[in-house]
This record gives sequence, structure tokens and C-alpha cells, in this order.
Amino acid sequence: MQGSLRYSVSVPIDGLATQLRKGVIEYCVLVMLKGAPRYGGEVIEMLRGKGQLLISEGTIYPLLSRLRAEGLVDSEWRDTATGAPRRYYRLTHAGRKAVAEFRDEWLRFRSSVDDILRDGVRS
Amino acid sequence: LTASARPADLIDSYLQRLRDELIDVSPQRRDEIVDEIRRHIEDQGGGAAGQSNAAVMNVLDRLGDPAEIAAEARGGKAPADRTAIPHRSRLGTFDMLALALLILAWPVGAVLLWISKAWSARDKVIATLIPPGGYPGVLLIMSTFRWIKLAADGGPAWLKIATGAALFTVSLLLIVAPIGTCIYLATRTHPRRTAPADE
Repeated sequence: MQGSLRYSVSVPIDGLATQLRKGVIEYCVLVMLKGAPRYGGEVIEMLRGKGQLLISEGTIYPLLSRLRAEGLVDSEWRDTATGAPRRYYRLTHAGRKAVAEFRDEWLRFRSSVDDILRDGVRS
Repeated sequence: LTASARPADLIDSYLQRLRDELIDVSPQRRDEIVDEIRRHIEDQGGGAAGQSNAAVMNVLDRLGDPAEIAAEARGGKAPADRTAIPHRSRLGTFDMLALALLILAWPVGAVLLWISKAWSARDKVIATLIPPGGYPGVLLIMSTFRWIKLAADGGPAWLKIATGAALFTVSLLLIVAPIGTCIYLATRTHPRRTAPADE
């Protein structure tokens, strides 16, 4: 019984942030590639300091690789002035479509949650 | 990670752990991810001469647990979850026609099978050879059994029994083979993904 009690402890405090992040992080990365092609390190730089959006920086690399496998981005090697060549990622046509869909969906989603929060506070 | 470890050792051991965690990812993707992470560490000054252990550990800490990176490589799913995803097979009308004709009218079915994009070349070879000519071919082969039996009838009793048993077994295999191959093919179709639209 002791064991089962130990396992019944509720999710850690960061559980909610983790769940929310999972749904949006790949779209945030796609949005960041909208302006210009970027390499993984640049995307990580941009995500730093954006609250809970990026906890483990290393996860951006498999994420970019997955987005490429899904055809939402493609990549090419580019020489840099400072050092070794880097793999630059850019949005594909499908990627741009995904960004537009996410933007619409997110605005609707956000306003629904805002409404509920506002009504909940009033009542 | 012992106190005596050098920065390069810390990096090597981190990358090795990452490689181990990515064991169930395709070798190509594994190499790509490990290579990108290695470049990232170099970009952050990791491995440069004179870098302290603390600085390297900072970089590795920010990268996160290799297990977490591997989980992201699997699409945020644990390995057990990934294997539980059922293989989606899509059998078009054309493919089903090919399978039906493969056992009923072998030459036509075999041609359709090779035109279809639902199977790999290896499966097509298996499908062409295992049902020997479909059921028309099976009937043809079985019609020769009468002559074998007649020939064995002239021999001793044990030969008759052995031939009967052998022919029975072969007949059973011949009857089951085309159906078995069809079932095999139906479960082996390529998952059809639409090619990503690209510039």
C-alpha cells in the first residue's frame, strides 16, 4: 500500500506549464522562421527569456528535425563568417500555411479562455 | 561525472548518453541530432581550450537531459507509446483488385501488383512467386499428382503411404499459400503520405 500511496502524489507544479508548452512550442518555432531562415542556435536564443516556453534547449534540434520530416520546414547548409557551416531552416509553403492556421486558432482559443476567466471572476 | 573529469570528457559522455537514448531513432536522424547538439556545444564555447568544467556543465545543463531530447525526437512520446501506434494500411480499390486477380487469374493479378505502388519490390517478388500461378496454377500443379500416385502404386506399400502423405501435405500448402500471401500483402502496404508541398 505504501508504494501505491507514493505513486498517487499529484503532478508536479510545472505540469501545467509543460502541458501548455507541448501544444504550442512547435508553432512558436515555425513563427520564428517566418521572417528569415535561421539555425537551431538562433531559434534557441530567441526563445530564451520567453518564460516557460523553453526549458531544455537541446529539444529544439529534434523538434526542427521533426518539422522537416513533416515537410513544414526545409534546411540547407550555409557557411558562416565566424566558424563552421550551420544548418539553416526555413519555412516551406506547408509551414507557412500551418503558421497561418495556428495564428487563427490561437486567437480564437485565447479569447475563449479569456472570456471564461473574466466571467469566472465576475460571478 | 567525477571531479577529475576534463571538459572534453564531460561533453563526450553527454553526447554518448544522448546517442544511447536515441537508440530507437533511425541512424540518420540520430546522427543528425547528435551532430547538431555537438555544434551547439562548440558554439557555446564548449570544448574550447581553457574552458572550465563549470562553464561546460552550464551549457550541458541548459541543453537538458538527453532522455528529454530523445523524447522530443520521438515526437514527445515514450518509446512504448510509439510502438503502440497501429500501422495504418491503406488498400485502394486497384490494390484489392490486384490481390483478387492474383489468386483467381494469376498473370493479370501479377501485372496489376507490379503496377501498384502499395508494396515494396521485395513484397512484389514474394507475391509473384509464393502463390504459384494463383489457383489456376495450383490446379495445374495438382492435376499432375494423379500421375505421381499412379507411379507410386506400382511400388511397395510404404511408398504408397509416403507418397500419399507427401501429396496431401503439398496440396494443403498449395491451397493455403495464395490466401496466406494475400493476407500478408494486405498487411504490408506502404503507409501513403502525401508529399509535403514545398517551394
